[in-house]
Amino acid sequence: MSLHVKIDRVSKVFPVGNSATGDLVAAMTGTSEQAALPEGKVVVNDVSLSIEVGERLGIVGRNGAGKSTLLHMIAGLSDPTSGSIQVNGKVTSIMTLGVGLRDDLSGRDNIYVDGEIQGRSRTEVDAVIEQVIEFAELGEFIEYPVRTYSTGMKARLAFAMISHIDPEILIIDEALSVGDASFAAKATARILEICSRGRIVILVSHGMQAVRDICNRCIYLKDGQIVMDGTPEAVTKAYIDEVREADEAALMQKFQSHVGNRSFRLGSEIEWASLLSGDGEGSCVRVEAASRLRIQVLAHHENTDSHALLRLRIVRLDDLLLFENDFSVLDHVLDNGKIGIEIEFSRLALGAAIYRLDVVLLESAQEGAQRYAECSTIFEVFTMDPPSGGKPMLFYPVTGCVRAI
Amino acid sequence: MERLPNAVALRCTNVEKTFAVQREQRVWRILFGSQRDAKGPVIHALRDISMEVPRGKIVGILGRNGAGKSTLLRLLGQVYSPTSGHIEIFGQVAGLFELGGMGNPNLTGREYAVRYLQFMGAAKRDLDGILDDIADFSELGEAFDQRIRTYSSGMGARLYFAVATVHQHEIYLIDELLSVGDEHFQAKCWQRMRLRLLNGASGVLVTHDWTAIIKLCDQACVIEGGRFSFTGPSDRAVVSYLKLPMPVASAARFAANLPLEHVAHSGRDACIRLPIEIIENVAVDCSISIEILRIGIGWEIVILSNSIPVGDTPGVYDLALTIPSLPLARGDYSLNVFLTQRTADLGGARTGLDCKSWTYGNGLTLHVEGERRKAVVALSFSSRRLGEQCQ
Repeated sequence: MSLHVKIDRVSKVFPVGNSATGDLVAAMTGTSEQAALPEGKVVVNDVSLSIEVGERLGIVGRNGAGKSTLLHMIAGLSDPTSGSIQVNGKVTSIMTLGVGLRDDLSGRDNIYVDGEIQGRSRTEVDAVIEQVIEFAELGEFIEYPVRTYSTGMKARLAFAMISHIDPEILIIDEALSVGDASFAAKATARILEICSRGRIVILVSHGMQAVRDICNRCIYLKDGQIVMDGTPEAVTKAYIDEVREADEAALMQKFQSHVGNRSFRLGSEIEWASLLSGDGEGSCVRVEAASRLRIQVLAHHENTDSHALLRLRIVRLDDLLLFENDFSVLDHVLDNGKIGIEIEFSRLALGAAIYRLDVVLLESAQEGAQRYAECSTIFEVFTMDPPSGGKPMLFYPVTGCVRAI
Repeated sequence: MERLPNAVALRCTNVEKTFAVQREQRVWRILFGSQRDAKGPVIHALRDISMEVPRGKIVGILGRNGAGKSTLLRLLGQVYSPTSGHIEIFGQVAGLFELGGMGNPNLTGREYAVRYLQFMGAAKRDLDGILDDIADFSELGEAFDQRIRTYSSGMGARLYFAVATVHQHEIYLIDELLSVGDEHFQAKCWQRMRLRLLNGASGVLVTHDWTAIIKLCDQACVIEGGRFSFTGPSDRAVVSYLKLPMPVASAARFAANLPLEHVAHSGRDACIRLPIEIIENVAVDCSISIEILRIGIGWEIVILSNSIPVGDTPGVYDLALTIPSLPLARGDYSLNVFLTQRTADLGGARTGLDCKSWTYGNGLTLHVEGERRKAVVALSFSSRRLGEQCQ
């Protein structure tokens, strides 16, 4: 029968007790189940999923979404609280790296032991052992006990071992993020090779690129539930977008003390500051890179002293100051007596990031001048087409003109 | 002359660490056998490690997996003792490694924080305020009052970082930690580390992420096979660490008369001229990146442009790169140029033909003139009274 994994209405609840003693008492008196369940933490909530031969499933989701718990249950490392998991085929998992390696045995002996656990004969292991050792790049360390290995070396050995014993259902939890770039590339190639032989691969990763490179199906797990199931491109994009939106909301929440409007002097205030993207007239918080951006500010200042000024600053969220300019209040008095200013970036050069716009109404440009009022807001610059090879601070055109000599 | 001990936060002198390799029956031989018997084969995890961390500086240790980074950090954190050599530490140490160390997974986040703070000698009356700060920084929400064993690894890392950095310690030992969590949390970690550093903290940052070294350290050591293979300024340490294979420059190359220093003016159209020789029949593209490389402050790509066509037949070319109204503020920038072979498929890896880049130790500089300003870049804009039409 062909390989498959069928997950039917699976939930996992972790009991959340209040004290270790309480747990112990509950366990001893046999009341733990009843007592702990109602206030337990639901980590996986009623998930149904079926994985067929040849599928390379990616699972994405934020920290704590239940990805690892789900994998552990598929791998048989823990039981679901309710629901059933049916696995047809032998599951091989690379979870927490290095678990499954026997510390006191040498790397070479570990390969044999693991081969036996996977039901391979010594001759079968002998046939691939040199490949495994070469793949793991351990050099002379292969003869030393595993406890002398660094984390990265353990990861390489574990991956090399598992990927060479021809797994049927391979589960990988973030394993590729350990090790340096060159090993990650090798591991990716190896996984694709395994997949091409009609196996099942399940991968959990925070690296969207890894998911897109390796997988042909992707699910998005949120608060223990599958909220999306589709192609890696579509799901990772939706995930990134949603994370960004959640982040944006969280940021607004987070910076509530910064985002806001304060007046320090009666009769002086910044009524509003807003960003207008493209030719739109509505205020926005997300601006596409390299598009037109206008910033409009309306302020009120009773006595129009000649030195007063409006200072506009754009600060990236890690405190990098990208723009600062002062505008004289006198030059921007409107017919109704208010102060209005519009500045325009015809082609916004800022790179993709989150920024804060500060507007300050100041007594003068001098150091230590009195602040009359200030107003801050958050905005984000995004791009649909990020450049390859880095994340530049600015998106700015460079043109080339060649002349043969 | 002997330096004042005050000026040094941490010093290692000829530190060596070996681990005995445990063969079969070794435990019994150690217990009952002779001393000589117990000396089996050993692994030299670290050899000849000498370094000094000046007060107020963070020294970077760059190395690949298995080079001995974590062992060194454990030695400095007094988890291990050195086999030979001396480690002197002048101040209170906070370890940002092994994620906590005192983590008992049955504690709640709050209990862990209290235990850590009491261990570090925080006064009881200050605890509430500090705990609020930790809960806020770690963004754990109600999970702060749940057991650590219910945390995901990311949540744990946020807790440990928030707890270990809530106070100003004298010496920080940091292991990769700043690479934990999402971008937003990382930015917060950086800000906090920078603040601690500004207030005079010292430390050691162990990582394979060279950008972190450039951001935080003036000086760095490269560790390879348990030894320091390089000690010096961070940018040169990065070159030594990366050991990028220099392209052979046989098919195409930058001509010998390529100027090492280029000058431009902030706000005006900048023109960078690159003389290029194409030797074989290949289609050649040029890529350029202008980077801020301020050691100990940061590294960042400011402008990046890929795949500017140069030519596809042998000959000598003069490539003039134009950046309209240069948005860079006054200062020196690192200018990096690469020649690559054009490939048919867009996603394919580009074959490098020649390069001039600081990561290879042969970068160019771009000197930008103009008035001094506070912002790192000079964005061009127009302004008008609200409601007026633009001209």
